[in-house]
Amino acid sequence: MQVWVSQWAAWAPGIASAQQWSAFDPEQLPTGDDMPPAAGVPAMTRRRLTRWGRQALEVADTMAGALGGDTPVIFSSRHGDTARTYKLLESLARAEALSPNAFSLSVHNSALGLFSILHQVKAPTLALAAGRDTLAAAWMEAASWLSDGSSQVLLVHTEEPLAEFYQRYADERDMPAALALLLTAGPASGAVPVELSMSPARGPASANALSVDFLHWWGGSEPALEVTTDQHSWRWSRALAVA
Amino acid sequence: MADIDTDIKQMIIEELELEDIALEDIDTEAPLFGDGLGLDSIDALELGLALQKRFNVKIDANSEQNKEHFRSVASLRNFVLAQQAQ
Repeated sequence: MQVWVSQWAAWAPGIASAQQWSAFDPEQLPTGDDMPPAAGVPAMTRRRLTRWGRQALEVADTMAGALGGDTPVIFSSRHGDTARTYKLLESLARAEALSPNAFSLSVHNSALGLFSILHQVKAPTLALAAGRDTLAAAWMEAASWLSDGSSQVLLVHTEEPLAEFYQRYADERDMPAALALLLTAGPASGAVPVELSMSPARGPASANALSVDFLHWWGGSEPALEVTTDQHSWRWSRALAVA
Repeated sequence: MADIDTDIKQMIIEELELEDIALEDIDTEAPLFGDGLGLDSIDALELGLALQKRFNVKIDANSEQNKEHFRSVASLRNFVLAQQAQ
């Protein structure tokens, strides 16, 4: 199904502008503890966020003004905020009381919940995870809303590499990054038409997280991206932006 | 007393991750919640936990007096001192 990307924003440590993304090299994934400013988030809320949530709000915030009252919002993340949940599990293992703040923000929809409170979102919202296919599954969900009558959908994907304890189970190369896309059902000036299709896996799976491969493609100029996860091959293709 | 006030302020800044707030920004007598420092109910729970850990005080979750104990740094200090004297 074809949709249009009318706005996008992405952040990773040291990479924020479209120009920086065009130079992004997935062979050298950004690392380090850099945090986005998330200047649009009130300081009293911002202090509670780890980078996982903070970068999501950093990119989502730039699109808040474009949301209509009926614009569905989808937040996706494969692993969620594992550094936070691991700390809580450590506290439990030591029979200590849990931090109420960490507990309240340990659910998968915590960043989405804060976004919806900050921007008074009353439209349907959904936080999802779908293994290695997460970003594509979120896109399909957004496309479904668009085909069901929504004029636009905000899709936000945020990922943070697994907490150190879980690193031994990591099955893909990942980086701290967040991506926001404002998808529309019809053409608008400056919007890029994009189509996503799925087929059974053909060829070996990518070594990278889907979001890494997508951001590399989206920031560059190739017309199509074909990428295989464990079970599926996904193909994104784009045409020229609407004049 | 100044020492314990500083300890409590330090605890508030660290536990609540008030990254932009310095010790001298917190007025010992000013309200912590609502108008003053602007803390909320989750902060109250977080502070209750921190007080138990750092000052070994017991807080009765159902006590009507909690609101008074948690009003300001000064009232928290008086509460801690009273508990420690017991």
